[in-house]
Amino acid sequence: MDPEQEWHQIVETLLQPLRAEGSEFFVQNVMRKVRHVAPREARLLWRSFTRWAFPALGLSMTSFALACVLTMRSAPISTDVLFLGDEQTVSTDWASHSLNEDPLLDSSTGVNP
Amino acid sequence: MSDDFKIIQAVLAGDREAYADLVRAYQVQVRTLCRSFLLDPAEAEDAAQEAFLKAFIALPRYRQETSFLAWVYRIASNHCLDLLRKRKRHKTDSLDNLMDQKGDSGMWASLYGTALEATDEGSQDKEERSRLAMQLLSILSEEQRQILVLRELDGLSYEEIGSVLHCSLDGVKARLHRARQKLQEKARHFLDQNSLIK
Repeated sequence: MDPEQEWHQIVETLLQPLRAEGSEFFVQNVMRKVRHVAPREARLLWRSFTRWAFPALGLSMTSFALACVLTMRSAPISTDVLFLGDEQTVSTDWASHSLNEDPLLDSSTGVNP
Repeated sequence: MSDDFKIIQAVLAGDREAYADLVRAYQVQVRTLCRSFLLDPAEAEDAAQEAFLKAFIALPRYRQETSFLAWVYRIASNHCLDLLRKRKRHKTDSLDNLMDQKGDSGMWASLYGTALEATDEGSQDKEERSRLAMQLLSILSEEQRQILVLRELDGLSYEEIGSVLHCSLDGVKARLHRARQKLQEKARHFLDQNSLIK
């Protein structure tokens, strides 16, 4: 048997039986799945959206609440701060007067120019 | 503009039912390719349906540079390879398993003889012939079976096969040559055995 003929025989025996036959049933099965693909796609989109959207929403709400609490909470005022605040007022009071207009001297000596 | 491309544009414009024409036109090729990969008719049917579905979903990404058939072939091949990877190596029905069980190196030759007889007699039992052929073809790799089907059954040119397999013209020729050689060697072994018996 020549190689060409031998190969032809092999194709007939081994490869031809693999060939599927056309089937309308197959086409309809594919089309049924195709018709359902849109809702499935939408579901997948929604699922992928919720996968990051809900955690992101939760995180932003938590940080917002935390920011509100921190700003609304009254800060404990230390005596240092109180003194420093006063000092500024006092220093401006001192600065506004010239040496001649020293209120302390005025009060102590009772001199009134 | 090719007919396929017109249909694709209609589908993309919203006419989903037009996709049935593409499925009808290429179902035989895709189902045959899936059979050659998976060597299981039922599994191949499901794989072919999934391949068409994947092609439908990916249709907006289709470019006209390749034919729709080559494109859908590639989708089907990748899908079948994924399935094969998942199931690793299905040995229950494969010839390897039979050989392991019976330790008979001439098993292939004797099965080939049965297949030849069935072909000569024009046996009507197509399922049986198909099952036998699948068993015999399991000696080839998936890639070798794929290339043989593309060339011998679908009649694709070397260039078309190259675009499906993403390989050069020389690569296609070399792979095809190796696949043919392997089958011919086995068939010759059967013929030699037969002539010795006679």
